[in-house]
Amino acid sequence: MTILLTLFQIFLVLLLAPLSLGLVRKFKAFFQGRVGASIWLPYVCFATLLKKEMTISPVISFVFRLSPFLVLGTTVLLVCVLPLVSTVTIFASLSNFMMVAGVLAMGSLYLVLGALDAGGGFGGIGATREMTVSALSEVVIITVFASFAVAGNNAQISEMLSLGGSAIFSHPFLILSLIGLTLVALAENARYPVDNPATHLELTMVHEANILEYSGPYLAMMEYAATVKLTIFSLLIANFVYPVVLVQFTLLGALGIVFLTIIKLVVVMFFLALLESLMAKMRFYRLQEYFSLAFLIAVLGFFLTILYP
Amino acid sequence: MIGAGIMTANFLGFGLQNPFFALAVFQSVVHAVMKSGLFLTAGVIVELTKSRNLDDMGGLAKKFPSFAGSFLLLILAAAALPPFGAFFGEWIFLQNIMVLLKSVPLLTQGVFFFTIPVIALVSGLALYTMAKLFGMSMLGVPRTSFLETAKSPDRFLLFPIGFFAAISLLFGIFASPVLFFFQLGAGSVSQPALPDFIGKNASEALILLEGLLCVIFALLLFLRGFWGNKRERESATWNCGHPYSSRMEFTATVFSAPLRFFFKPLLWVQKTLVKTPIMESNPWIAHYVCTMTESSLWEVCFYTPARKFFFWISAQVSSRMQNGVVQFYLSLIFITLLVTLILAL
Repeated sequence: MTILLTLFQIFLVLLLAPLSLGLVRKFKAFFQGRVGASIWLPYVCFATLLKKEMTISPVISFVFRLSPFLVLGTTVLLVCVLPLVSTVTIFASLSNFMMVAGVLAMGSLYLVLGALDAGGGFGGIGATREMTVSALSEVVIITVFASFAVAGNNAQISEMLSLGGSAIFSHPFLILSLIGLTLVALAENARYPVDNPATHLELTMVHEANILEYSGPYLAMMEYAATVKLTIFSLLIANFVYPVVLVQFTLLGALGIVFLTIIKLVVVMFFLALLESLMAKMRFYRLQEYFSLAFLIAVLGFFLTILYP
Repeated sequence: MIGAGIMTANFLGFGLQNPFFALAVFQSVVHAVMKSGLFLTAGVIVELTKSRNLDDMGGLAKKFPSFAGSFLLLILAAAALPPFGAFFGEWIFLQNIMVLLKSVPLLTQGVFFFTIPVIALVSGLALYTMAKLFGMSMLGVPRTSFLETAKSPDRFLLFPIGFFAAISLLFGIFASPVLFFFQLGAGSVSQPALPDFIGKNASEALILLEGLLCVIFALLLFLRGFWGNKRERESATWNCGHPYSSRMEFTATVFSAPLRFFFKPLLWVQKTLVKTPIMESNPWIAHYVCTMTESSLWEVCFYTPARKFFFWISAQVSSRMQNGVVQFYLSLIFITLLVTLILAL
């Protein structure tokens, strides 16, 4: 049964990932007074990229070719271990937050090495920015989950969900940790105010600069990995707010959870689009203020967790 | 880790049963292996590039892929990423701290509270540094012409690097048996009196995680065999319409610029820009020379005064002790031996 639940989670999240991107773009267009592209457009884009011929720089080494596989691989690994649709998957015991933080850092490192391998200036810009964001995010992620771990006396994220929903009011300081997680999720997924996902202007871009030298199927893998990562963080935050997940596989339950997962994605993407429509992107050299805020909120949550009897 | 061990010695013991002492020994061995590999790699890179400046390097991965592969493994180990031994040590250390956080005295609690974010920040910065080290020395195109004359390193130089890289990986995969070999054992890591926070199968979890990543990686490679266009066309790295050259690459100095800026209050960076006009008619066309100096709050406020103080003490003591009387030296040796014996017993 747990194998079935695991396969169901992997299949559902990987299938819905492009939809989440389509949804956030649609909502943003709505807030800008435009009709916007279809929510199914990312599926078409990925299929088109897979069919395209690749242009490869002659200066690259094996790192450039390995990078898309490793970046997508680490992202799919997170889909396998995190409690996104179900908490009783066969890999639930691997959802220890330190391992998850390690896998996230590994994905960022491979992305950066791929960007540097082509030897371009843009790759360098993206690499240094991505590493800065990743290095400063890691401390917030670990502090946030340490609060949940100490409060719930368990280091597995799949077990931490029991502190979510209405149960969070028994540990109200964990709301601060959730805010910290949301701030770091925006940074990790290259969204406003840290990055503008819709630009190719070298002064502002972070994620796009890293994948500038990729094309065709490699670019599809990189873009898809970013989309899956956005879906992972969205579902994780949604599950902490509304922790209804599948614990036993039945046909009716599966249909219900598909519906619920789509609803969660729609709600999270709506708020993400609203947030991105309300605020401007921060200048990169002002991000220390953003990360300091995220860190202080996370540390305050952690401090109150320790004080709480 | 040793500090944490001393602080918890009252209730976890002062011996090897204390998980912090156990982990300190484990981390020392892991770091010794990994850093030996890194030092050997640095030697080979300096030999190939004839420079110690990262801004002169680059492009080694394309010409020497097996050397770069070993170096990459060592970089992953040094950045404390799973499944390497350094990750295991940090992981278990932090989790032990979290287990004990609510049951230790107030002072220890305060120290542990700060330890978690500080270790996390140091891990993040280590990742940054390792990315810079590998990216600048191995990737892109060479920034000087050293590759034209560089010969493949001797296999007797490469073998120890590969060996240390493999041992670093094995230390992570077999972390629990290694701890057991040190007579510390996984049992001491998870105290029976403490909640089962870590699980006794931490090492097994790490193997499973990496095994899963390998399966996913193999599956993606397999799928790539069926899906997607395989045709490739060579095209120069994006160069904004100018002929591509290594001068377009990022340098190691620029790579670390954001962190220097973010930690400016601690680093005390001083920058001077000297502008020498080239054309009198146009002040914008000029030759700029930027000089940057860094000092640190730690160095200026603590390290330098402490160093001066201890040097002064040392000078005072040595001037009195080194008096040339052999009997005095012999009695000092005797007292040292006596104290060592008393401590050992």
